[in-house]
Amino acid sequence: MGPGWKLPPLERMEGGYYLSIASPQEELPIVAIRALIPSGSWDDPPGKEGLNFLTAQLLQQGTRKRSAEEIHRKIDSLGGRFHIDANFDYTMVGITVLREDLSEALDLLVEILREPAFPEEEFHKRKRRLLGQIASQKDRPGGVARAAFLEALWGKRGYGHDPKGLEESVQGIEMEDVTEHYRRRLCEGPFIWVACGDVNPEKWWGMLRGAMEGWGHPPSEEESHREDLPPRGKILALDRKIPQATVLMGQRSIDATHPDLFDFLVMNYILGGGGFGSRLVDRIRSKKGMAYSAFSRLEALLRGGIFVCGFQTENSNVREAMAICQEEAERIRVEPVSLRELDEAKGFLVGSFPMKIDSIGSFATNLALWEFYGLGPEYPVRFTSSVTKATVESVMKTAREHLDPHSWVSVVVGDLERTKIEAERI
Amino acid sequence: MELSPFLSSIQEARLSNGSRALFRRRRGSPLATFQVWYKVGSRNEPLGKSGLSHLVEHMMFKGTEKMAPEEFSRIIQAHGGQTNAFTTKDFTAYYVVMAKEKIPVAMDLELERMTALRLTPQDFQIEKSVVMEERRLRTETQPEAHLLEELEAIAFTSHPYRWPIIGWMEDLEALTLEDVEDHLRKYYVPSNALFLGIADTEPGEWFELLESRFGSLAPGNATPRVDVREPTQRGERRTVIRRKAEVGMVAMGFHVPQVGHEDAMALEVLACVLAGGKSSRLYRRLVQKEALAVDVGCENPLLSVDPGLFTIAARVIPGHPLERVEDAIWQEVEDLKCSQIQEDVKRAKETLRRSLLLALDSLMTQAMIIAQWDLCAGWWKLGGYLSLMEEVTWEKVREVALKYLCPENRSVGWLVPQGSQ
Repeated sequence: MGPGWKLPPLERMEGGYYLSIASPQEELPIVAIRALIPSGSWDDPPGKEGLNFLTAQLLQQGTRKRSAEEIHRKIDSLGGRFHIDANFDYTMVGITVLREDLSEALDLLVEILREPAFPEEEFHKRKRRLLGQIASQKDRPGGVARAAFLEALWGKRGYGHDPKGLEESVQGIEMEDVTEHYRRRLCEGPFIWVACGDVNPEKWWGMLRGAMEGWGHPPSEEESHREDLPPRGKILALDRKIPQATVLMGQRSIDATHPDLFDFLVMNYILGGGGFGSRLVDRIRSKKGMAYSAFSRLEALLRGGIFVCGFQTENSNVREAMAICQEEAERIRVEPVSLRELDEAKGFLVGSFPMKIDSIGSFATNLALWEFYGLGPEYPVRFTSSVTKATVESVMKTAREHLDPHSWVSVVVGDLERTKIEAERI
Repeated sequence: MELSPFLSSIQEARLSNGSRALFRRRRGSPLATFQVWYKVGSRNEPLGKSGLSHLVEHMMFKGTEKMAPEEFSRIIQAHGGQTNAFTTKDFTAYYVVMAKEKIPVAMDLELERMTALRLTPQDFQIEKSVVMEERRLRTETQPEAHLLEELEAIAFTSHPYRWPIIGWMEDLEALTLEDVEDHLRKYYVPSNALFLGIADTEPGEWFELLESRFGSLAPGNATPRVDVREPTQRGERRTVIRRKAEVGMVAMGFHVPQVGHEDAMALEVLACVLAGGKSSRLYRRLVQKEALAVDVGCENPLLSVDPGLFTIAARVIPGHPLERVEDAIWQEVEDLKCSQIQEDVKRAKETLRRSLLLALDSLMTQAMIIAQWDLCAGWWKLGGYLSLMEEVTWEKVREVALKYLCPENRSVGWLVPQGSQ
């Protein structure tokens, strides 16, 4: 545990849902509420990619009691710290309010989740806006590279598309798809509720019990996805006449509960996750000045993970920087890391853990995620002890087992004439 | 909930050499932040040297007599901390967030680079390349950022706010190591710095930690003043960027005064009436009712050293003419000038009040609020923020809309997409 860091009290509720209450610091009369529903873009039916995202966003566009405008006015009057995040694995609705507004805020969240009206007009407008958001992502080389990279690793299903969906799939979503998806996935639960901050547990429990009465069931049977294996060792490229190329390279990886997760995090810090403490930044940025940003990252999810290295560099540097990523991934598989590197990685990972819960809002979000990913409220304790146990040997063993740079899929978005790479154009 | 408990926990001190220090005790927090803010930004750059302040910020991480390049960051991270820096038009700030017990490590490292920074031609060339890559990343490959950069360039004619913080590529190419050294000598002196801390520590202990390290540094000479006043704009200016993009953008900028001016708080409320939250007038019309825009935003440069640019920007849903979106924005602005906007103003004031209080949840946001208020107006003026805002009437909001959001004070930029990428 980080110095002076204590796990706050947590409580659970019987039944098909959970709630946690915690107070990281009681200096401010603020409460954060989160409701997490286990429905994400993984659950999008084939050809309807983006359905979960669109349905989730429509929750705030009208209920049986209030119009979209009335809901927005209410949210703004509470301070405006409201969000609906629809990700790969889950949908989270959250709001952070002053203590005096807790009851109103909970009522609003429950109304949005239990009684959405999905007005037809709002559906068409929100769909047009979503298409605009998807188009906007195409104006960002990073967004284009990310979309191509996900699809190359997973195909279009599962984790193979951005939660917002694809232009052609969103075009095909109809009103009935939304109401059916809500009925099957979003209104069932089980919900994970978290309240965090300056909140009276008994009062909160009473309010939540009332709100949850007759609601919340086990989730429907999950459909199994047929998954194509990703291509091995391919370089895919999109030609754009821009002065800087964006490159992503990587492979499928471990999920959030994998026993090697903590050794992987230490290994990743040393390879490219540790900023100036990492090998990729040292070689690509600090020694060569080829990029502003170079990184490696593990996204450990529910049904697998995504490991990715990336950088942006002037087109003519692409080959050299890609070679560095491959070399460093190979090196960490076959050469022991130094003790200094190991200590620095452990020092950062353990010491910086309290930053995840520095604000009441981020603490609430993380508690919900730990619960959802099966890590539990004791995760901070396990995280620290597991990271501390990592050794030079365990890091190398993890790299050997989970990194295979020869099989990586790479995506390059840039001026291909200038990058001079051999790639399959997409 | 009001701001007084927050403000009453801020203490100010002067070190022996005259340097200013602010500290806030944050009870129950295992994390602390230590920051050094220099009153220098792109505003202080000479003509043809745009990007110099930001490049200097990068060079501060390049090592000292005792530390190798980037060693500063490695050491902080190995202690479980995070460190970075940022440059604005007015300031350059260096910050560390880490366990409160480890803060002396950060102070020692800061002292080391304040007094023994080592600049080599090789490190300079590498870092200049890094900054040029950063410019390509943030602006040259991003159509919307390109437009906003151009909008500022036409809105200001003589004030340094007309060039981008990261600098024009041509200026970056021409910058030299001597430019960096000169800038450091002029502006990186204790008398031009603010030491800021937030931690669950006795204030006296904190100030002692500072005094023992920084109190004996020579205060340095007075920094050069920037006395440029932007001439009054006397007619509309326009720019059109045509480039490959999927989504177009319409942006408008208006010269407005900053904190301290009698109109500043009404302008803050006006920005929120127009585009603060989903019940704001522009969001309701452009996004919610007419579905013309992906989103719309409005920014008022309240915390600015010199008068800045009040901006409205909307990303246009493909298929809609930019002209229609510009007309819709302008109609809404014109409607506001002659409407009964009591309800809008009431909502905006409540939104602003709650937003500020809720923002105090985060350590870094607390630090940003204290430092920016201090360097632009004096930190204690934050205390009057809510009461001054409360005094803003709906008539005053309409008055500042009429006064500043007028065609002769307007600069307009269009990003016209030239087909799919």
